[in-house]
Amino acid sequence: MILNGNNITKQYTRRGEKFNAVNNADFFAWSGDFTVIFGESGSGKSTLLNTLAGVTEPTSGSIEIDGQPIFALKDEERALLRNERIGYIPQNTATLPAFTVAENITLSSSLYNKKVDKAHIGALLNKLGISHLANEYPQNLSGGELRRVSIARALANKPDLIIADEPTSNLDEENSHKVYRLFARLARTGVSVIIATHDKNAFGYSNRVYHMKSGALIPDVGEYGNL
Amino acid sequence: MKNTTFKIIYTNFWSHPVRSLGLVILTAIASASLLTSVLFSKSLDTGFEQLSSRMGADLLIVPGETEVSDQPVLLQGGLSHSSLPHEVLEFTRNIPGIRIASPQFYFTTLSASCCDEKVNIIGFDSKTDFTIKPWIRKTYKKDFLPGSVIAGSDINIDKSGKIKFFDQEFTVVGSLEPLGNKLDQAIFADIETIEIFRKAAASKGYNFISVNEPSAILANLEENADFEKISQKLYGRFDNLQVVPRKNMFDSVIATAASFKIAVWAIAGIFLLIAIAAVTIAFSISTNERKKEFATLLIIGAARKKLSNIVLGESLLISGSGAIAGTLLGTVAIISFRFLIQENINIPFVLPNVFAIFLAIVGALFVPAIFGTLASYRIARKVGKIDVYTALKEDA
Repeated sequence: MILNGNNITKQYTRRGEKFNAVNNADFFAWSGDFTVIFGESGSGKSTLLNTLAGVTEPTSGSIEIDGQPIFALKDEERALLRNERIGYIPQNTATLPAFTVAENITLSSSLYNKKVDKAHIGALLNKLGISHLANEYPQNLSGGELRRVSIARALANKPDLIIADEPTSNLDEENSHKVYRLFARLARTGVSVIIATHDKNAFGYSNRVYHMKSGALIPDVGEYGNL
Repeated sequence: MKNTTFKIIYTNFWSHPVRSLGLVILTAIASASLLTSVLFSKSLDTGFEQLSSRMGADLLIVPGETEVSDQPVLLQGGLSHSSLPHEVLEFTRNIPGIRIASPQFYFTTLSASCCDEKVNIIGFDSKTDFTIKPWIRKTYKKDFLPGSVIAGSDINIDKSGKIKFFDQEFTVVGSLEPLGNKLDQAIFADIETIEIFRKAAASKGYNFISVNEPSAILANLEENADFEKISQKLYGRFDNLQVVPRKNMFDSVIATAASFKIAVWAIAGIFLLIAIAAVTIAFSISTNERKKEFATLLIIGAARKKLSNIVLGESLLISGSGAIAGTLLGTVAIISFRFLIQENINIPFVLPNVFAIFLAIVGALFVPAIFGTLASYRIARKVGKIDVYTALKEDA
């Protein structure tokens, strides 16, 4: 899988003034890459990930997956692409409150009436240490547990592109490393992992690093990059 | 829609039971009032049609004390028991321009075998009658034999088919279609049978009727006959009578029916507007609270159209449930209370035929359901355009 973003710009209007949350960013990731986008809060990381995941259309520029411009697809086709190929973990944990943890995790399968791979889901819950919470409702979970539910949900459909926005923000160091190790293992199987973070621990697992500053995306070739 | 979509719709309905059931109840009230309005209006129309066809007379002559102008006594079946001098009938028949004139007799028995309450008896001359007979002919085709009577639709007749007045048995040869007024509780008899009544009453000491003194005379005019001239002739000859033209017979009925119709339609309209406003406000609040949920669905691969469909589906579930409950309630209410309505509104009220009732039910089901769903359409479109980044950030 090749993810290729060219000249991505996303413009928002704040208090009547236009500004570029992402400004002419070029991005590239192969299958098996573990890519880290490092940057301060408000630098545009989340906006960039939203465009790469196909949920927010850029103001200009293009994003291609395996040569297919994803925003040239109809919304239904792009939705199916997200469902089948992209596992997206948003920065803020979001679940359906009336569904149990297990139902939330299998939602991406049931949304398209796909058969749920119970063994795969069970293994994921075990790896993330939340198998005992399967029948709980989200409101009974802590921030860290909800974060792990989000991760499990993103991985439920065995995507070949994982996009994670601050995936370890609510986790302690031990659980953070657990998540990084899980992502690294997935990357070794050919999955392309992209995470936005300001946790420098992520660099030890990545093979590609970008810096993001004021909407600009800069490939890192120095201290942490291209290990 | 897939099962998951249904599940999301269903679980969201029950995650706020008070709000959801409140909206269902409001829609049910709107639907019930809409159905009631349609059936009520149709019932008034049907009642008026039947009455109008029965009262096919161009003019009506009644005793002077009958309050025809204030209240159409005869039309509503609230019968006057005073009578006209016996010369009036022959005099009327001989006025140029009168095509036909036929007497009618109204009196009330104090007790009868059929009923708990007093029974109105209406006599007519089967040889000259042109108002009651056509109506009776719809259900009874044979001759009017002496001693036989025809019962109004609300008169209970036992298996023997007999009814007793003043210890005299009469044979009930037919029952009439409902008119929606007190005439449904009346007994109709030819003039020869009325004479038998009179004799039976006289044998018990009651001398209150005479076949020579009718309670009213109904007449039809020749083409181009002048009503004013005819009425002047009658007023010139007799002091204590009233001549009522056909138009005036129905004026107050039409006016009263129109007022009732306006009132019930206004009530239905208000309830429908309240239901639409409530659905709009509730869905606006609900979807704002659930932005994160919709963003989550987008992230895991729901199409934007699906998000809109979820909102519309939730709205349809609420409006549809309300419409079904309201239609059932409205149908049961109007069928159960129709006698009470007939009794109290004092104008003809007859439920329309089954097909018209069916159409009214279909309308009461679909109109609130469709309006309720459309009320949330703009909100559904807005949800379909949700920005994931903003939605997730807003209530983080």
